[in-house]
Amino acid sequence: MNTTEKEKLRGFIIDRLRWDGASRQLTDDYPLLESGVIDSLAIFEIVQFLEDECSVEIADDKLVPENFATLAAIAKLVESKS
Amino acid sequence: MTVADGDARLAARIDGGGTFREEAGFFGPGPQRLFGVLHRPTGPPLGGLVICPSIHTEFITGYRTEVVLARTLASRGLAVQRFHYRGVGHSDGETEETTFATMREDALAAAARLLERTGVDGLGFLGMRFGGLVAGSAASEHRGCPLVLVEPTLEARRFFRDAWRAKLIRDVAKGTHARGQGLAEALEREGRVDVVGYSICRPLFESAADRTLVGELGDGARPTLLVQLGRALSLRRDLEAAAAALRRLGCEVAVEAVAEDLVGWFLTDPGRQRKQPRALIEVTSGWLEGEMGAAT
Repeated sequence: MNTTEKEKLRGFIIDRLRWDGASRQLTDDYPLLESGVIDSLAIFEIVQFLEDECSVEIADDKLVPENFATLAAIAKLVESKS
Repeated sequence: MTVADGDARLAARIDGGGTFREEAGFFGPGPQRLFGVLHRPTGPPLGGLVICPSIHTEFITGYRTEVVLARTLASRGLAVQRFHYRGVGHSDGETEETTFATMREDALAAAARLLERTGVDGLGFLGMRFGGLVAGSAASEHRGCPLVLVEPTLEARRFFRDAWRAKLIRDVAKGTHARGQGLAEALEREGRVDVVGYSICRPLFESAADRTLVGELGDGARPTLLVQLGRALSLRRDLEAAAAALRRLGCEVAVEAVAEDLVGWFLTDPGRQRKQPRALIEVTSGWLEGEMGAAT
């Protein structure tokens, strides 16, 4: 996942999901699942976002908690599919 | 106001404003009855529309939108037939017996009922999500009839994949690991799988999985409205491609991106759908009025 895509994802989480804090607080290692920033609907939307914006297909077996725990984890998931 | 009707299978009422009448009841040619509601203007209808709902959880999350849309259109002069597929909602039949063919038959039976009860000349179909595939397939039996497709399923296989994903993603959000098998394998082994409280059964999966919207429409040209829902106002690539494919079939295609928060329907709490989707209703009814001559 390149820097532009990662920033788009960060923007997606800030603008469209339940992010109440300042944008600088959404760091790469912020615990998205644990803190409740993303729920099941948000993960569904993130997966669709990744497939549309990063042209990757996320396989069913990649839908595990650790792949969505942080922005860095999501970026790593996309990189593994590129 | 509830009113008596000569047909004992119908419960009828007229709305408070007196602009349309609703007839709820059972119909259909076979031994298994279909449940449906006909929304008809109190005056002679200018045309008729059959609404084909989606399935599984989306049958619920789209329900309120369909009711409000039907009432709006009826108040503006169009007769609208809603229905439940066999094996779904109030209609007879078992979920395990529902196939794409039975859903298509049910949509055509709903169209026949609408024509019989109202005597309208002009007929159109509207499909929400998976109902778009059914509406497209049924519309192919009515040459040139207008077609409205709301967030249509373009490929049935993708619809089922998304449903399966919804189940897996729910597991992710709960912090439990997803199972290591796909939907097809699960259906092969178990015959049915539960997705967020609703069953996907093997007969429907196997009869529908290879179907596409373009394939179901055949080669008939028709005026078509494609509606995208969600927060993005630019058209998604998949819908752009679908619009181009429909134009190649000779369809006159209008496309609208409507900012309604209805994405991820499998996972959407039905309670979130209580708000009326006004923009969707206005876009849809405006287009239908233009195509079918309803009064504004």
